[in-house]
Amino acid sequence: MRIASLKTWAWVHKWSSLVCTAFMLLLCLTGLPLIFAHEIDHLLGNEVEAPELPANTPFVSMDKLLENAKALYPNRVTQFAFREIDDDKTWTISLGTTATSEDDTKFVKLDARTAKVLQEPKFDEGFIHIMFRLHVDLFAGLPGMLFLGLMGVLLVVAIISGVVLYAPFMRKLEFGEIRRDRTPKLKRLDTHNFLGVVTLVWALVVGTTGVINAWADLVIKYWQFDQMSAMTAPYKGLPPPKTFGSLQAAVSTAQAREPHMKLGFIAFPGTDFSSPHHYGMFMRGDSPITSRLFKPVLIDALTAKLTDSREVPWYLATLLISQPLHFGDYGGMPLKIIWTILDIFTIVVLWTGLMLWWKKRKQYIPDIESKIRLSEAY
Amino acid sequence: MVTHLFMQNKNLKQIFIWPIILGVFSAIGLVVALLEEGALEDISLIGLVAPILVIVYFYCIKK
Repeated sequence: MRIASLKTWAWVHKWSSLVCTAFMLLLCLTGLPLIFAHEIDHLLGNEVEAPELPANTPFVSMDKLLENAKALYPNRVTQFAFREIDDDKTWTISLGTTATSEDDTKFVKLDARTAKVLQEPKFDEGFIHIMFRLHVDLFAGLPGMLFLGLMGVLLVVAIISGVVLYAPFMRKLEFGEIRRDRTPKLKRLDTHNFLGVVTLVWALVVGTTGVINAWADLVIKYWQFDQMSAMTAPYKGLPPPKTFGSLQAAVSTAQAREPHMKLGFIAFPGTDFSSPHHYGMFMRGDSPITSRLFKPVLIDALTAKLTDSREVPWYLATLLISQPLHFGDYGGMPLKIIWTILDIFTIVVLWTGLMLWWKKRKQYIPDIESKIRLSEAY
Repeated sequence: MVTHLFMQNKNLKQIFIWPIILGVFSAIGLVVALLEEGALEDISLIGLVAPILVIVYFYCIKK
C-alpha cells in the first residue's frame, strides 16, 4: 500500500477512535449488566412471578384483567398490555396520564389466570434503568439516542480502518503473536491488533445493529406515517369513540386471523401503535426470528371486527431483526456469556488503543512508515 | 525472537487468512442461532466460541 494512503487510514483510525472511545467504553460497561438485566432484576427481587397453578388452568377474560388494572388507577388511560415471550402466565398493563404520555407511567402486573394484581413493577427507576438510559440515550431523549448512534458510526469507521492498518503491522508477525518480552508498548500494540481482529465480526455486527437501534424512534414514527395511516384511512375524520367494546373479543378476532402466531402485545386505542378507533394487536411467531417480527392486526375497538393486517415493511423488519443481534438475547444463557466475554475483549481493545495514543502523544514520529518500522524493531 | 530477522514479509493472504476464517465462524454463529432453535444452536455456539478459544490459546496458553 502506498505510504500516502496508509497515512490517511492511520489518521482516520486515530480520530474516529479518539472521538468515540470514551462513549464506547461507557456503552461497553453499561452494556454488561444489560445483558443480564432479567437475571439481575430477578436477583434484586424486582420481579414477582405468578404462582404455580395446574397446567390446564384456563385464562381469565382480558376484560377482567383490564378492569382490575383500571380499578387501581381509575383516572388514567391504558396504553399497552404486554408479556414476556416465554411467560403466558402474566400480563403487564401500562397506564399513563394520556394515551401517548411517556412520563409518570404506572405499570400493573396481573395473573393471566386469576386476574389478581401481582405487582406494580417500577420500570423507570433502579440500577438497571440507570444503566439502560446511559446505554440508550444518556438521559437526553432522542438527541441522546442519535448522538450515540453517530458515535456508533465512528466505531464502525474505526473498526474498518483498523483492519486496513492491521496488514502493514503484521507483515513480520505470526498470527496471534504477542511480543511480551519487549517493551510494554509492543505488548499493548500486539494485544490491540490481535483482540481487535479476532473479535472483528462480532464488534462490527453489534456496532452496526446498535446504530440501527439508535434510529428506532424515528423508524417507528415513519412506520406510523407510512403504514398505520393507510390501514386506518377509512376512519379518517370520524369522531373517536368514548367507550370501547370487549377487549377479549378483539383479542379473539386477532388470534383467529393469525392462528399460528401468539399475541405479543396490545396497543390500546389512541397510542402511537394503534388509532383512536382501534386496538393494535401485535402478533409474533415462535422461532427466534419470527418472534421478533411483530405482525400488526388492527381491530375496531367498538365492534371487535378486523380492520386490516399487514406484514411489517423492510425498514421495520431491519430494526426488529437488528435488536436481538445487538442484545444477544436470542440463544439463552450460553449466548449471553459469549456476549459478556466478547464485550470484555472489546473493552480491552478500546483501552489498549487509548493507551497506545496516550503514551506516545508527545513522542514525535515523523511518518507512518517509521511507526511501522519502530513497531517491527527488534 | 530471532526467527523474525529471517522472516519474509507476509502477503495479504497470509496476514488475513486466520482473521477471515474466524470472521466466517462468528458470522455463521451469529446468524444460525437467529434462524433456528434446537440442534443448530450448537453450531452457532461453536462458531461464536471459536474466536474466544483462539484468544485464550494465544494469550494464555501459548507463551
